[in-house]
Amino acid sequence: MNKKRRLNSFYLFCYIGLLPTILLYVIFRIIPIADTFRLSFYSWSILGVGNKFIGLGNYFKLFQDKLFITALVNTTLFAILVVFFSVVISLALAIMLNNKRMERFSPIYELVYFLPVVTPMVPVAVMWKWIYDPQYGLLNYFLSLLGISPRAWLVYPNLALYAIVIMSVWKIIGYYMMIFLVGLKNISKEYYEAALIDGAVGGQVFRYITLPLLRPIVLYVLVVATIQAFNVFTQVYVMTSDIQGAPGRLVRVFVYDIYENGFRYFKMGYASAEAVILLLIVLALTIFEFRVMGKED
Amino acid sequence: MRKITLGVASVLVLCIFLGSAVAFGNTKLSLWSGYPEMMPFYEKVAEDYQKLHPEVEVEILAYNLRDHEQKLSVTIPTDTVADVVEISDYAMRKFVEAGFIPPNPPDIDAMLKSGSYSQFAIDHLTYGSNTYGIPLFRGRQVMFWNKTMFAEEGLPGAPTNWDEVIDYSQKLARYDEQGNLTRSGISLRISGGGSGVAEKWWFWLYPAGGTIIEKCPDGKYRAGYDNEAGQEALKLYIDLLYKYHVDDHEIKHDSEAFALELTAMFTRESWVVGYMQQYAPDVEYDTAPLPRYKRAGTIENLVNIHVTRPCKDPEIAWDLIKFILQPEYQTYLFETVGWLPARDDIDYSPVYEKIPQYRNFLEIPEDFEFFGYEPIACFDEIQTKLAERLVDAFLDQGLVDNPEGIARVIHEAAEETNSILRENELYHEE
Repeated sequence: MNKKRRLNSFYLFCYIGLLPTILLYVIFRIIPIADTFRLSFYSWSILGVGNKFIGLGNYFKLFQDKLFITALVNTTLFAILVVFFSVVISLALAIMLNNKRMERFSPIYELVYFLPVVTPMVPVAVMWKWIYDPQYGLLNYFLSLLGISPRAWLVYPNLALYAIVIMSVWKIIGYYMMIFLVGLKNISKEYYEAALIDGAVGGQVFRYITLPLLRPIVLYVLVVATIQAFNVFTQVYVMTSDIQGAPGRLVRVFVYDIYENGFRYFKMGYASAEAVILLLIVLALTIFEFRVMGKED
Repeated sequence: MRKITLGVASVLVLCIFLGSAVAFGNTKLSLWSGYPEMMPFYEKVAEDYQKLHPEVEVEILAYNLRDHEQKLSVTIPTDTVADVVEISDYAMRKFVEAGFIPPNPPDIDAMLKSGSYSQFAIDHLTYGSNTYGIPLFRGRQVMFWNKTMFAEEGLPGAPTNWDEVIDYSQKLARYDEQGNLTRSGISLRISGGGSGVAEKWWFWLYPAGGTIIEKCPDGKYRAGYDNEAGQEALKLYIDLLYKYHVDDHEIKHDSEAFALELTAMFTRESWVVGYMQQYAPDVEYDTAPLPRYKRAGTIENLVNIHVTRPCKDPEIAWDLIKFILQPEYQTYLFETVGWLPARDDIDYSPVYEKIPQYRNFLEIPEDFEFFGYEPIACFDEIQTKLAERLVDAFLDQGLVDNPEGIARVIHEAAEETNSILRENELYHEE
């Protein structure tokens, strides 16, 4: 009886301790998400004029809206490219830095690759905007040394999206590299010794030992990378919304479309419907990734 | 003794608090602007106003225009906006119609209608039976042209019509050995965020006989460019970009290009004069009226100043505004910042005798018409979406010598314009 009373008071203490955090989470996350969902069924202006319930009207309109479809296609393409390249490159870097021969230099490389991660996105985007400048940019300068004529990297549709993918991958690989490094360091050396004894070499070790044991880490990185990629906004806004940039259609992404509909055209209900669709897409992809990567062999 | 000490200490503390309360009893006014180049002007005015009224503290914040408009979209409906706000009438209209902005007090209304401002301004600031805000400055477009470059080619001055635009820009453009454009003959607004691309295209659309939206007799609107004028204006851009290659996407544009002498001419507002004084004082340039075609005209885009609903001291705020609108500060605005002051009853000739480039902003040819943003809430959406379609079109080389393609682009854009008007119950049904 005493033990049961002690346990109950222990649980009560835990719940009370968690209460402030849960409360904050409910106020700043759950309630806004629920309200966004509610607003998506309304024709709702920020100005509070003419607001009315329209059911699924916003959702039907969205799928007839060319700008929304463009944003969906652009964001999906952006996410696929960024997730693929950032995961592959960061894993490769982590494997290289985990090598015994790199032990002395590893901290320096870790710092160098992690610096872009901790630098705020806005100055990074401004810096890359200058790198991509058609007349004075470093990229066009180096290309001119190879005899390639200058390109307007942030203006042409076949270049602008890929230019932002390159910049986004560059910024994030350090973060995923560190996570992979932690995962790699936690794999017991006994597995590699056993594999050596069995005659496994190079790629076989990676495929049958490293990758399976790294699965939970890869799953985490994939989920985080997917969510981040679908929420792309800052770099698109900063790099392409100037006088000499590629607005709207050309590098239109989901969050930019939501932002424009909500805060420029004041169509909060419409923007909320878009946000709900974004949530559903990311949720579906996350569940898919868990299903594929989360299986235990 | 201890009680006396405690008593004296309490009284002292009370005095300090009361004194602080008196000091904190100063009036604080906040002012938000969407034009960072206006900061020196506002700082000067605030400093002079505070000398006369030491009990008033003025805090000024300036943001990039698009960010300013989007900031207002959240702060005006929630009454968290600054006491005084400077904004274009088309951007403010939706807030006025929704009842978030108080009407002008009688003295400001009288000042607006006293003859100091044009009927155009009065009409744009009237909603129902009240007026809202008072103009501070305005944007008018002229052609900026580089005198040195024109003289090198033996050209007499800025182009006066479209044929001269095409001819002169070909003569003024420069290329490297690979055929890359190194100096544009004319700098067009062919990319960028917001609605600027559509606005600048309007300066060619209007002389061709069209406009973005036209008002119909029933007070409703429809797209005003789904016609020959719209097609000709788009064709002009396509031809300048691809047929004559006097401008392209790789070269710098706008005021930056003009200051760096990477373009021979471009169209912009009067603030460029202040910009050139600051960044490129050695460039020899002048201004000229916009080229004519079937008619002639220039935009008049008013930027107005309002006292907002949450302002606790509206009388003091309006007093500050009246101070800003005095002739000496309107002239100071023109001379130092370059934006064209809105008051018509002031003699600005001393300014353009000092800075002759300002002359063409004020001495408008008699047959020039003024056009401006229609005072409807959805105009920004119409222009922004049109801008996006135009940017797409300006990238399409397939539109060269393709009248059907051009007509299709114009028609699809106009359909979108009309659907936005319909959504806002402003479309004129045939």
